[in-house]
Amino acid sequence: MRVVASLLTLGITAVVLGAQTVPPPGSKRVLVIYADQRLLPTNVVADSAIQATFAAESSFHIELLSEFLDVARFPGLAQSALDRDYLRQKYRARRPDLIIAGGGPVVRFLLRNRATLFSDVPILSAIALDTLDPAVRADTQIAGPKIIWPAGATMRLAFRLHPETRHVAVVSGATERDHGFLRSFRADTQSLPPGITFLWLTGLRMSDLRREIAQLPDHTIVMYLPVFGDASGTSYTPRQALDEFAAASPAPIYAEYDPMLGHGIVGGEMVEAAALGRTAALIARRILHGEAPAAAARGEPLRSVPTVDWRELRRWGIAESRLPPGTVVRFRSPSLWAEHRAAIIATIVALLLEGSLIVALLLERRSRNRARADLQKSEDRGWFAGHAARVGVWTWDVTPDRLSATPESREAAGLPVDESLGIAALYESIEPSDRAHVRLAIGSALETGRTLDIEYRVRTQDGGVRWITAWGQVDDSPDAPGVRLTVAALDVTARKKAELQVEQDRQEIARLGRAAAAGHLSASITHELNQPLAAILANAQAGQRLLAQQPPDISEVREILADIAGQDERAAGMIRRLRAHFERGDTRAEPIDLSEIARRMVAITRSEFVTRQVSVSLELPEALPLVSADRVQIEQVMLNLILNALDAMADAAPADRVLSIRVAAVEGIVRVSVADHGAGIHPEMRSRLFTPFATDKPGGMGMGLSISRSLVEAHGGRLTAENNADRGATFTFELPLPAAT
Amino acid sequence: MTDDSERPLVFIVDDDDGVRTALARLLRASGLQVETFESSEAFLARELPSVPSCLVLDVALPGLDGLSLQRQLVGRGHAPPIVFLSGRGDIPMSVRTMKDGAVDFLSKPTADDVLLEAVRTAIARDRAARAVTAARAEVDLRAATLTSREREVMRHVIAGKRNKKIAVDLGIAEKTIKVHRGRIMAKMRAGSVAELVRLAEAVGVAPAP
Repeated sequence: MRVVASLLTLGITAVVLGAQTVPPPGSKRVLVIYADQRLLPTNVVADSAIQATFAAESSFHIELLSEFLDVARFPGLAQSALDRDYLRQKYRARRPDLIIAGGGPVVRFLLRNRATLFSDVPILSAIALDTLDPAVRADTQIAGPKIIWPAGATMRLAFRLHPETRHVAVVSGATERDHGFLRSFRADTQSLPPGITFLWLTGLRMSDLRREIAQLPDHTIVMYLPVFGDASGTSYTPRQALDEFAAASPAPIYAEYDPMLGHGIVGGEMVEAAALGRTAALIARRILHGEAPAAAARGEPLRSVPTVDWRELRRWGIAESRLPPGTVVRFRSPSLWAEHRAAIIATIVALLLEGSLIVALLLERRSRNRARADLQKSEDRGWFAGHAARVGVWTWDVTPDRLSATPESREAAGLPVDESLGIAALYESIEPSDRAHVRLAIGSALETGRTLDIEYRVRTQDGGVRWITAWGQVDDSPDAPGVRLTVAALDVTARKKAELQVEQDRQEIARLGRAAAAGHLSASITHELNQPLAAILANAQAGQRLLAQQPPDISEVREILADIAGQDERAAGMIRRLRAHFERGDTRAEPIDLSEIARRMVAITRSEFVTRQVSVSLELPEALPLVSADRVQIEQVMLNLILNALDAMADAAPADRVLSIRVAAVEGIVRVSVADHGAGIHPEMRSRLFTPFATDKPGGMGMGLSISRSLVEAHGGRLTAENNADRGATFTFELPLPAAT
Repeated sequence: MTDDSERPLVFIVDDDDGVRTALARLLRASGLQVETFESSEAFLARELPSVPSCLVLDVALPGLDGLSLQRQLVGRGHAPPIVFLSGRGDIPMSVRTMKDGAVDFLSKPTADDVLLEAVRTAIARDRAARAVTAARAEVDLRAATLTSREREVMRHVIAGKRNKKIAVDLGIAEKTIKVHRGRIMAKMRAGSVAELVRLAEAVGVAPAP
């Protein structure tokens, strides 16, 4: 037997006591008698569902009356007799047409007193048929729709979600009402799966319960039967009691009553209290219309469904794939990860690629250094180690101007074929854009006697381009005939191509990752926001049309305005949640170097600088004091300011596209300024610059600056913007230095 | 004012309460009858009305989504023309819906004149389709009054044969054919053989070889 269900005291069994003739349409009176107190959340929810369902009745008015026996605090047969006499007196002149009995105790109370109390009033009971005494069930006047609420389903759900469970801690209270629930639980749960044991936390004081709960062993689940009172005599509603101990529990809590959802339980097999109330009220209406109770109560059975709190699933690391099919998941709020997994993975891949490229370049540089050292060693012998390999060697006698090399070397080094030429011919063969730096490097080598180490491109006869890396040394020893430059040159075109390819790929992946993240995010937000926006727009336009009519329907317009306000609030809520998304997360303060972050963010966006033809000017002091801040968040701010500055210069003349980043430490703060040479901040945008969704960029979301400011302010800093004296704007953020100790 | 039985009816299927209510208000304020549904399933449970109608359909719906509902309706053979409303429409999606016969694919939020224009186009399309169906039903009724012999004769008449030829082909007296022909023209209410050919085509009666 399932006395448990009597908490949801709106069961639905019609108990007909005596024939009832149906009066002509007029006012009807329904008395709902609840087993527990008025503030029991279940009662509140069910009561409002009943009221709403009755309000929809159009044939007659239904007067709704309620009584609360509060059997948890006023138990016993003597009290029951007092209640009976009280109700009999009270309703003598206001006889109800129907009674809804909220719960097992009420049904038993009414049946016990049926001879003297409401003796010929039909009763619609609130508990499932099979929970009643056999004697009542045998009564042919009882009819009722089924409530399918399998016993033990909540425990099975818990075991399914926590397959490692070893203990079930049962929490129950100390009143007679509590004992009823505990007895029923025991009757339903004769045995546990092998290897699982019960821990009984029943009939305790609340303080002791909290202590016991806090010490529960690993692999325990808590089954919470309602607690109406504890051993010290303190009364609770079951939800209040739950609030008293849920936070202390290291184990997941399960319960069967939906008003407890959101109060720290994972979930349970539940029948919605509101659905119970609604169903009861619908049957009541049919009975009031004159339908036979048995017929009125027939219909779709109410089925319990597994219902869980999404946040608790996350808290206990329960994958949703483990939920039984048809589980209702409440309070869902998708995480950034859940929503944007693909974009996040793409970004991580890009970062990994970047990392491996750096390693590869370091290795390559090391081997080059080593090769150079080797070359140096062999230099004394007057020749070069790479001679036998594909290294072209040539010499340049400065006076008279003469280049000499073997034909193979000429070929390898990409030198012009004609032997009689001077250095001008070398320059001639080099790509025009590389000539200046080769000339400079050679001049400087001659002047300082330092080694020459350059890379340049030469144009081959068939119009192709080859990359040459050249290393050389000036020989101006006194016994030499004149100043001579000896150079070893190597064709590195293949390596260069591979490097460029890798770099391009990396940039592409990084760009795609960012674009995907931004695009995906804005798409999902746009979709969400478009709902309230669509409602607001359609409402407003409907309102305009209504106002244009003669006479305008002012009451409808009033509703429209209320809805617009409501939808606006909904949109605002979305924006708040979105901000919370960006701003949430553990802020992990660590010492960071803002110069280094600026440098890194510029490096990450290098491909943007190239494609948008923007040059960058950096003023990043080396020995900058460190600020204490969350690296990721500050990187986000920096990146945002850089990308904004790039966007701002999209329409500027290429020669003007200069982005300056300046970092400086001044008087207890470090200040970072990002200046662009764009159009500057439009006066109209100025005041709204940092408000969410203010944007003048096509395709922009208008969230960047608003979030950036929140992030900076969360670090005790500030973010400001102003237009430059000449052109463009400068965004400046300051972070405080840790106080000197 | 026309009475309600003739006023066009717009069905709105959108799971968002706020959007549904607001759209309904807007369309009602524009003189249309409106019925709202919060899911495709709820809409499918409703019988199709006898007045010109159209469906304003959200794409993203719990359960059967808008595109699937469209396919189901198309599969049923008769469906009110559809105006899609989407919060996140992309071009391939809109192309697909238009290929399947949607009247328009609008993105939320939509300006009232754009929406109303699409709705009116959809209703006009439904009205035209209904007129065709009604006309066909009428001809069907007429054709149903033909005897099988008359039907047979009609197949020869619409093949352009003269009475004499038909009489030979069917092995009946030419006089009898003449009587049949007269009855056929009367029952089908055809003023000429040309009109009879058109009517027969409308009800799918093929000319005799």
